[in-house]
Amino acid sequence: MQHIMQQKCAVFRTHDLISKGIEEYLKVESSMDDIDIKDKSLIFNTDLVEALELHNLMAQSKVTLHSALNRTESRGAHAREDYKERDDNNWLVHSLAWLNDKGDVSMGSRGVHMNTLTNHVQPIPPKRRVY
Amino acid sequence: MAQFTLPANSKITKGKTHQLKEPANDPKKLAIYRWDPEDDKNPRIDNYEIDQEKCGPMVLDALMKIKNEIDPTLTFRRSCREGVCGSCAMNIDGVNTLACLKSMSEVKNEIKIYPLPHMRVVKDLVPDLSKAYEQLASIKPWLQRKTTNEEEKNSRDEKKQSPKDREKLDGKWECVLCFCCTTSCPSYWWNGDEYLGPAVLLQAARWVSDSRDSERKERLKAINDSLKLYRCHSIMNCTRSCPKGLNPAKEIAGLKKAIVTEL
Ligand code: SF4
Ligand code: SF4
Ligand code: FES
Repeated sequence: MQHIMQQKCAVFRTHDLISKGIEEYLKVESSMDDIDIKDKSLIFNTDLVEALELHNLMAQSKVTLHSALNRTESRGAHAREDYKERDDNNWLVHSLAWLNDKGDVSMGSRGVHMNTLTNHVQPIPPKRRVY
Repeated sequence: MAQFTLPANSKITKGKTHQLKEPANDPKKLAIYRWDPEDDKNPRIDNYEIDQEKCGPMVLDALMKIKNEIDPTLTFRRSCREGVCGSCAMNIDGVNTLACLKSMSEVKNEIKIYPLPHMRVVKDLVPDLSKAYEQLASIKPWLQRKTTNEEEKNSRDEKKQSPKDREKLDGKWECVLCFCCTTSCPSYWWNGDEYLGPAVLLQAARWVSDSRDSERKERLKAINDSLKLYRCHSIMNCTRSCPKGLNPAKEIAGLKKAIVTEL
């Protein structure tokens, strides 16, 4: 899982690369049933803790892969080499992802709050980051 | 001469040996202390062998390789793997240090690994640090600023510090609280229940030296105690062991001097 995420879902990514990552991910996902915990103890069982962490990271990786594939623009550390520009018209939104019991991911989005909660400071309108 | 032996149930026995399955170009042997709190057996030394060509350069890399590929029951703390969290403190080749900062190539022969000395062992290489953390809490390791100045009380401005005052914290803020120093100090071994030990005293020095803190005097008074502070006899084991290159012995001397001159 770590290798897939580092190689197929790093900062610079493309549709093909992420799709390949999802393909490989599914193989790893199906091997999760074979997990065996050798350390059976109830005191400081790091073997068990690492297995639980892996279980959690598997879910996180899956929604990350799908969110990255879904977002057809570049923004910050999500640099799509096939969509190099930031696209505020379509993508000024939070990505939402649902992972159901069967392991299917569905995508959605939610608008970004554009105003501050008090009028102490005025909101700064979004603009491209140029350096 | 008096003879000292370990209690019968603490004697270390010979454990399992895991040899390399394939021939390796660059093999390395590790002898690791193991103790399982859930069986009645004595602690043992397990022997492992790894191929350094297929492993990262640090002792922690070897431990993780063993845990991942040879023996998942091997238990140790680790987190950052770059010397900033202080989790992986252990006794390697006779010296307390951080496994992630200790290169395997520094150890000529077999690498012997034990938990931090003179602490209760929770399991394998994991020592019980609860007493040490309690001692840390006792020196109030946070900024205290009491003020009668109404303006400051009502202001939300940050409390500024000049670069010169900030420099006074150098050699202190870098401590990662690994307790390598404390557990190498003979005074702490004998009086660990009362003596605060170098790591905690270094933290005390860190807060005593902070220009933004108003409780310097109170802090000095609180540690001015024959057991808490003066069990340090400048043996300097602490400084020798610190994997971050700090000098707790010097900071303790600084505290003693401040007490003499300011209280
Ligand atoms: S200098 Fe003090 S704190 Fe350091 S090892 Fe010696 S007695 Fe312990
Ligand atoms: S002074 Fe050094 S050895 Fe002691 S706790 Fe801090 S970093 Fe570790
Ligand atoms: S793993 Fe963080 S200091 Fe070694």
